[in-house]
Amino acid sequence: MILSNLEEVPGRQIVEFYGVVSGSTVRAKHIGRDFMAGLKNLVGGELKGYTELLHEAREEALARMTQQAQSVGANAVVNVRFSTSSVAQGAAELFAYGTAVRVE
Amino acid sequence: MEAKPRLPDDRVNLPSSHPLADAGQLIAFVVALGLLLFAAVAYSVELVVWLLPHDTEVRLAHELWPAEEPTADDAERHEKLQALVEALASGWPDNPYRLQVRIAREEQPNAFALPGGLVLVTEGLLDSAESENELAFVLGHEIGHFRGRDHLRGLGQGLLFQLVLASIGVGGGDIRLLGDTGLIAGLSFSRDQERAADRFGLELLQHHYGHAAGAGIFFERVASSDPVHTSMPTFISTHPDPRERAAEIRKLAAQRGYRLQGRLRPPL
Amino acid sequence: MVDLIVLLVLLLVTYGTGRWFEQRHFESIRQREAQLLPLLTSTLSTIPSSAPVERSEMVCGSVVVSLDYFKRFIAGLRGIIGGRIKPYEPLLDRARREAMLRMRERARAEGFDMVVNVRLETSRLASAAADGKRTAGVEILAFGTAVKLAAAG
Repeated sequence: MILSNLEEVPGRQIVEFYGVVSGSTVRAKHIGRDFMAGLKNLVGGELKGYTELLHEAREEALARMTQQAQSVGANAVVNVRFSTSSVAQGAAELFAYGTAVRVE
Repeated sequence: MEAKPRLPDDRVNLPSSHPLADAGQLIAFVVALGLLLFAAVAYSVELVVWLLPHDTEVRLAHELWPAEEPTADDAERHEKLQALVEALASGWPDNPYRLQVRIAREEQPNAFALPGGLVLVTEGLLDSAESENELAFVLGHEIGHFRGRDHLRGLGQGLLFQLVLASIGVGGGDIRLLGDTGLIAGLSFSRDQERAADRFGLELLQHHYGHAAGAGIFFERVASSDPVHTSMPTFISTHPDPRERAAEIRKLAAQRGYRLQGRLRPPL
Repeated sequence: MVDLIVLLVLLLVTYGTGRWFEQRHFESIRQREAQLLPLLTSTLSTIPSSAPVERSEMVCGSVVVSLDYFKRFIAGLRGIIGGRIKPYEPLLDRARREAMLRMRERARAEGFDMVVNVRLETSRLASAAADGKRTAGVEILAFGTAVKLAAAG
């Protein structure tokens, strides 16, 4: 599955176009990460725990979007966009969406 | 480019497991975690309790529960009660506390052992006791709790549990339920602690009167009455089954050769 | 002890009601999606057709979905041990699809052929009563440009 955040896949032609596909996941962090984050807020630096968490969640959202694209018979998703939003205290929704197409 | 609109598979973004099964698993996991935490807290408090010196405990207690002078009409009863407690406590030669008794203005018959050597009895208990001996047994039982430092352990567990929960950010709404449960669990004594307190109460009774008549009668009365209509509901709910305790008492008295019959003194 | 029983009953009841609303909503969504399939949607800014454009207009659709007690409780527990909050996923999925459907229904009602350059925005509405800590609902906004192509011939 080819992913692109351009409106096209460079060097290829879009021949069929199927519609919008998306993948999302809602993740919460656990107490341990919260505690470490609290400490880091005192000394500064990267919150590695959160970086990892959100990275994993994003990978999963992308995987789901790819799955949806496969289910409509596409071989590429173009104009991929991400959206992160807070849906509850300490939890975030990771959302990836794009247009499923067939390129040649 | 040709437009061929198609509906994607919508199961991709939906969970595959049943929500109730998932919820059940989650709750079970959190409960297990909670129990583990509770056990860890109980164990660590156990270690600390024996290390706390008595005078520190007394000092802390006087700061937390400033002494309240009894009112004039209670003064006579209070004096008699104080004398009774001190007389009973003479059966405990190693007693490090200066035992003080306070009467709580409450109708429910109950008695508490508070840190620092404070024995709290309710007016209800004084009124419902049919003999001095019965009252003496209850007081002896509370003194037994002091000997085992049970009151400290319970309070310490409750407090520490609350503290741990608060530090991990759990404290609002439904999760607070867990905290309150932890505190209540901390305030009620374990079976073994109760048994030990009963045993000590029996010893003190024997030492003071020469027989243990008060204990026998107390449990007979409690055990024979219907639990719903008994005059001591609170006392029962915070302590184990009275029938079991009665059996334990009879067994112990037989072992030690204490008489469960004897002359009873009138109530206070 | 009574508190625990009340909690369990509340959880089961709100689970039931939440699920009922959810199933009904999903049925409605699937039906309308099937109906609206001919109305193209795309996140691309290019129009998938060579025909000239007659008119265009920005259209949007939005919806606010509420959380039920069961979902909130599970989210609370997950906040301690971490992981996927599974009850929230269908909630957000249906909110998103509902917002998109409303946008497309609007486009169809106005006589457009397709909607391009679709964007989605999600926001959380915090409850003022609980000091902003509780989520009152989730709002999803879908907006794009609706296009009407000139009729052939």
